[in-house]
Amino acid sequence: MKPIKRYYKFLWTCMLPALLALTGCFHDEDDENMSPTADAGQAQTATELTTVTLTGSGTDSDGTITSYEWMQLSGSTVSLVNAGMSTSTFVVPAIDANEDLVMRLTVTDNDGATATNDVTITAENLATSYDLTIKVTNITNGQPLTPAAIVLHKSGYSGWRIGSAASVGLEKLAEGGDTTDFISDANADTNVLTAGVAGSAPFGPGGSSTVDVSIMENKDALLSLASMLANTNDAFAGNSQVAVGALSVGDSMTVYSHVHDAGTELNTESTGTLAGPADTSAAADKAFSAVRDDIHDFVTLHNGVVTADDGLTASVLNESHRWLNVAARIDITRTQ
Amino acid sequence: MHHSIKKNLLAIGVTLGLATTASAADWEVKITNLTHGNHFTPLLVTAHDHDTHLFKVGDAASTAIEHMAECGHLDPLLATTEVGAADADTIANPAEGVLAPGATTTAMITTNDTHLSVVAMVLPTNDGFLGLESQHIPAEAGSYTYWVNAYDAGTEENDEILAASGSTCTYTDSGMIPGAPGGDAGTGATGVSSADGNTMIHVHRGVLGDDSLTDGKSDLVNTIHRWQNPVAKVVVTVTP
Repeated sequence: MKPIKRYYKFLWTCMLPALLALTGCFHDEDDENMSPTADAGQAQTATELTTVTLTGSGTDSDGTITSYEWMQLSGSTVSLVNAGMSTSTFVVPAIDANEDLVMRLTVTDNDGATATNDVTITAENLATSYDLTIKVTNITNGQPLTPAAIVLHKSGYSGWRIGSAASVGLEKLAEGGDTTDFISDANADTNVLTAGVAGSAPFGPGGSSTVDVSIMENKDALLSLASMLANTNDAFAGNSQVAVGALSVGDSMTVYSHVHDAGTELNTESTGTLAGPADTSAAADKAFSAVRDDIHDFVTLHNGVVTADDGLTASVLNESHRWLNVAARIDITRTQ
Repeated sequence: MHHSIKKNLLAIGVTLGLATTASAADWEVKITNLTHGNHFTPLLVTAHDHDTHLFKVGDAASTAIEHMAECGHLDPLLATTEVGAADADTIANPAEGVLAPGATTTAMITTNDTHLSVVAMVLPTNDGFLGLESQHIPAEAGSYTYWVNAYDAGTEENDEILAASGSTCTYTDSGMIPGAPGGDAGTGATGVSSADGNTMIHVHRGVLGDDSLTDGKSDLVNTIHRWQNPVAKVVVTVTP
């Protein structure tokens, strides 16, 4: 055998396998594990207290997905069911306002590599009907109460302010019991949720009137209320900014209405100036006069009626028409 | 005894590691007469659940409330199922007599209940009473203050005529004021008003009075016996 042939023989028998082996080494480098990919699914919108299904998936180009893990990144805390599976569920918690719940899916492949993907669930506050029955009871001895204007509102509305001039709507309510303008003013206010009137006619001592009102649930809801004491010049039983938004269904609360003076008419108690039955005159303007002649043109708490029995000789009232402090009891019950 | 039995039961519950939902609380109930010239008849101070009402402003008075408001009698109220006999959570007459203007009395109550009512007649009136109406008392330790108005039971006309000294008051009598403990009322009045305009329990319109001790419409004195609300202050100190 010639030496050169030996050389070739060496090359083919020894070097080629070595080369192949070397190539094999390079081939092993190319085979290193490929990372998986995770898909947490499409963004979703869900109302509170409904169940959301998170449908996740994972892919691995060179192997298999061996585990799934769901976790929450942000938002009101939820309880994930089957958090270790590709499909998980949870119930959107009760919330006061819309918010985003961000969930993260982590997938792991058979070589221990992981990948994550996030999905946003927009949780919507379910607008719940908030129905109230408002009962106004006359707890005076001798003052009919006119139908009560009832306003449910957010902060920012007020039917009157102590020390500020009464609106014409309040003046008409306090001098004659006419709620029309007071209610239309309220309905024109963007902070008013709803307005209504309790009773269709004046109700006497011991009597009551009721109105049902309905708003969407609102923890910040306020109640304002006004009803004229008919046997006065311009007195009204009033409540302003009473918090009524936190009642559970079936719960009740009670408040009392202090007597206010609208400040729009002088308290003469004389014939021809009082809207109620104690004034038997036929004066056309005894219910309402646009003239503002009180000692000052602004709302205060009322200082009470004097009456003829106590020495106000021109008064058509007697001691039975007096009151102390409050004139109405307001029972507020949430029915829905 | 009632008190210590409850305490012992509670102690057993704790020893056994049981969860107890209701436990007795001590309420120190301090009642002050805020008026300038009116007395309170013996007070009734009673704890009860949220469904119980001794009276309700706007509703008709029960006969037991009528007894209390017209004569200051507590026995009819103590015979009702709502109140029951005097015990750890119902204290009758803590002041041992009338409570004078400016005076304070204290009733100690031990109760599992959540609500408090306090009533007594205001003298001199025909059927005026002070009333704390089924007030919810927090379970947490602390002092809580309540201001109390005077109500008219709506059961007797406010004639402001004082009954003769030594006469016995009954709620069915001719409807006179049973007494003026201050000794500062008059006699010989012709009477103030006709029947009540409101026969339900309502906020008392106050007394009229006049400036004569021997005649006029009222036996009451207009510079002494009028009041403004509130007429009483109730401070409840809770010790769970």
